[in-house]
Amino acid sequence: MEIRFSKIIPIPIPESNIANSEVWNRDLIFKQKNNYLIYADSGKGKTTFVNIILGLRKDYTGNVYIDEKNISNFSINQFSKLRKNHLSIVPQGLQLFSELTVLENINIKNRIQNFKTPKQISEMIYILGLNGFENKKTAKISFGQKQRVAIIRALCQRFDYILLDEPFSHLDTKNSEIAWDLIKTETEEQNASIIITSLKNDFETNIIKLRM
Amino acid sequence: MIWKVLKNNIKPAQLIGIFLGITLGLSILMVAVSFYLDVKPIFEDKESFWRDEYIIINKKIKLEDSFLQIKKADRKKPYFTDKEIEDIKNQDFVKDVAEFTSCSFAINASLAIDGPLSGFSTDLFFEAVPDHYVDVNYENWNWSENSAYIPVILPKTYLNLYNFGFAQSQNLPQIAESVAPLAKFNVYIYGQRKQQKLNARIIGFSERINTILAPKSFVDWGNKNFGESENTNPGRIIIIAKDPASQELTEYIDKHDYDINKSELSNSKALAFLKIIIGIVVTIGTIIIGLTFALIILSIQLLLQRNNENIVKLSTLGYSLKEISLPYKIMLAILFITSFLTSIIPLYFLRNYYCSHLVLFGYGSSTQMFSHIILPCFIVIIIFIFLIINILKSTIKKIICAN
Repeated sequence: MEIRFSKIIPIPIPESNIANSEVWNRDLIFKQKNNYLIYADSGKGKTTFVNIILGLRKDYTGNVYIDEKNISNFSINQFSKLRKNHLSIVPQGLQLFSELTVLENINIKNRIQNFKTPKQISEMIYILGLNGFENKKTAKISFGQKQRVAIIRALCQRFDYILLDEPFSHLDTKNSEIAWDLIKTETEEQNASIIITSLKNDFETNIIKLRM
Repeated sequence: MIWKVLKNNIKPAQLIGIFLGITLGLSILMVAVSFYLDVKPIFEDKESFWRDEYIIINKKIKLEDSFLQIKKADRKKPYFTDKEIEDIKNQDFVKDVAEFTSCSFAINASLAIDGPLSGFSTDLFFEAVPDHYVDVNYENWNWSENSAYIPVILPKTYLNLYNFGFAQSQNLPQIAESVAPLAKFNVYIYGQRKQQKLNARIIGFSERINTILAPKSFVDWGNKNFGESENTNPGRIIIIAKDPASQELTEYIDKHDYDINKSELSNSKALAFLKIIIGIVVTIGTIIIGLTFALIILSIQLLLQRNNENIVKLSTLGYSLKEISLPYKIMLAILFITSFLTSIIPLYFLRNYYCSHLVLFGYGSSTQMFSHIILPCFIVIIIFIFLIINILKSTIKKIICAN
């Protein structure tokens, strides 16, 4: 799957933020199997960028094409199919259900495709150090733990691109590295791509970096 | 699991309110429709001899009329002039006017000699109305000179007078209504210095018309051959009213000082009021259902707005509009079907209650409860469910698209 940005300018972003951007008002192509880092200071539109690809925001000029189809013409069902089968997301706000437990929050995603077995889910929970918290309501755990739940949830589906919006902002270095390895392994297994946003440009060299 | 997320903010009190609203509205509507369908045949009873809209009016016999007739030899009776009949015909509330034809010859009737009432003899009169006013179910309602007997219809009150007054006091046998037609009697008619013997037979009793009816062909023949009077204008007439309960009709009759059987008019009024009351009840039932419908729509929109965040989260995870709306659809379907089934209970008991009263009046319930009431109401409910589900889906769509 290919994502093409054609001169996208989000309406709420000030023009001063667009002039030196490598993303806004450019022609950009995101190709599968490549990984991308979009880095910028706060307020430059990282979350807006993710939401535009997901079809959650439409307040922009220019066009976004997915496999050469303009997403502005997509119906609500086409977007839901896209989110179900091709795009996975760890939103900045995480969007967990506070009334559900850790395990339920993961399963509510996994049940759409029945992509992971309970054993695989338990393994991911263990790797990210959430064992023992499975039956806790997400309202009762820390933001760092919530970030890890959102990462596991995003890995419980088939995808072509995984969109990570500042996924490690509340994780320590060790946990960030473990999570990053887990995401990379899963992405490689699926021949997919990572598009990650971050405040800092401190990622490994094997990633295409774009300043926003 | 989606239900666990979407059921947030659903208030049991709200659900109970909706349930009671639909149940109450449906119960009222179904009972009213059922009552209307069961009672309608009584209004439209083709078997009854005299239809509701037929009203008989006559000239009032005043004191001076009596004195004049006692004093004078010609004994001129008050009658409707052609002008008066024309005026009545021209009134808005009148569909048609029919005249009574009286006999202007003398009649004496006596029972056949072989019966238990042999020797019973009385002077009599006949009146006639145009044949089509006498209901068709009286098959033998015709007469010609070759007919074996004159068919006669008596007021039911005559039979009662005989059975409970005369027969009691004279120790005579009482006569059942079904047996009366078997009794033949002889009729002697006199006039123009002639007399003729004919046979007659009672073919029916009428509750609503207070005269002894014979076929018009007989009365006309008798008047022609035996009649003593030239005057053919009627002393009383039938008005076929558009609405027997109308105020204009009552006012017109009062203004012209005509006489009318008030109970007949009030009977018509009662039927008209009954129709109005049923109409009001059906309207109230429909309003309650309409208000409940509005309450449901408002509650759903409120509920969805409160669950806005979770709906968007589900949509972001890849849940389709269909998958998100399904739990709500199931909830609404359960709510509506339960209300519908519950409202059948009051329908069943209330229908049994009023049917037991209808039976006392001689009417059974002819309506098929399932095919005439329950099935149409069920179809209405299904239409409601589809309407509400569509509103639900479009609200969810708006929520998803707004983000």
